[in-house]
Amino acid sequence: MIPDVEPGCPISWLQLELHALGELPAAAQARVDAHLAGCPACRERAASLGVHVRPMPALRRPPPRWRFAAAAAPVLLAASALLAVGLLVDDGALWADGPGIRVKSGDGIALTLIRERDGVVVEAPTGFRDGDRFRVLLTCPPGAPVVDVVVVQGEQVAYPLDGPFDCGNRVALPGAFRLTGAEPVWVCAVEGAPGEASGCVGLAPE
Amino acid sequence: MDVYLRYGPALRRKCERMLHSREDAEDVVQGVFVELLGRDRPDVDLPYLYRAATTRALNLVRDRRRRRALLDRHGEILAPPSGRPEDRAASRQLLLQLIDTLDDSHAEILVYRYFDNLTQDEIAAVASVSRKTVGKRLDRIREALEALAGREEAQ
Repeated sequence: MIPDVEPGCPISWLQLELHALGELPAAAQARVDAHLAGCPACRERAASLGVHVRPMPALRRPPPRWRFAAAAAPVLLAASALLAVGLLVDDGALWADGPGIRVKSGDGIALTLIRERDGVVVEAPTGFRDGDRFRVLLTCPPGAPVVDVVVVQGEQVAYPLDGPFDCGNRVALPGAFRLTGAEPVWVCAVEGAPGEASGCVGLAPE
Repeated sequence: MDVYLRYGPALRRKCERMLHSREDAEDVVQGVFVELLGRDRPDVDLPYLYRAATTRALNLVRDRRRRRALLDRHGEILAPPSGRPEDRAASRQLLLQLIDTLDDSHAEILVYRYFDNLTQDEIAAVASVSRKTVGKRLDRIREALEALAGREEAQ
């Protein structure tokens, strides 16, 4: 229970917290020390800061959320089957543990990228160079409404493959796309109505 | 994230005073630090975080879907923050009702004064306004509080 403020006390909760953290200037720290020495109520308040402190929960990182607004935009990505380009309106930060880390949604949708470079094929790469060619393997439970695959780089968005797709285990999606540029890229499955992306894979420019 | 562990408990206590809900307080704190992760702010300190949390908590209070739950939690009578006669004792419920009628600049100062017990100088520093502005806004808040309390008592 956090004790109520004693009427007339000049010590705010902010000052007490800063005092407990040792972040007050020396003169202010001394003033608070002097006040606490003579004020039992404020001593109780100060003491309450260290009592029953629950551990801080881990920061929750929200899944990527996208809203798409139809608008003309310069095409950054070269694709073998580019369908539409839109401006991305990001209403939340894009969270990642690092490029190339696959983020699986709770409903079992996952993408696996296959990179082709100079005749060498690599599964689940972590990076790309200009001109690298990518194909996508889609894993999703039957009936999942995966309507498309979106490729995002900065504020540029492209749908290089021809959806919707049938779900299954590591289904090779028709088509391929090439990447260029110096910004990280995210490749995500798009579920249902526009705006919900999942199973994102990140790639860093090499 | 070091600043989260260092300042998170203090911020959570502040939000619990206002929202009287551990879950809501943690949601607000999470929101503050998650947003912070997306920005390059090397100069984060507790006063800055107090302001960020106040803004988020006010949005939560104003969310119509959550207000009913907040108002249903009967709050204790808060003592006047300074002991001065011009700061009327007000219940948490009355203060939350008043927040809904105030603009952002006044609602923010209400929170600092009545929930955080900040002095006018501290409010000026946290809210980045002059002490004179703080004084004027507090006068407006007290008038509105008197008016609202009068209407409540008349019912």
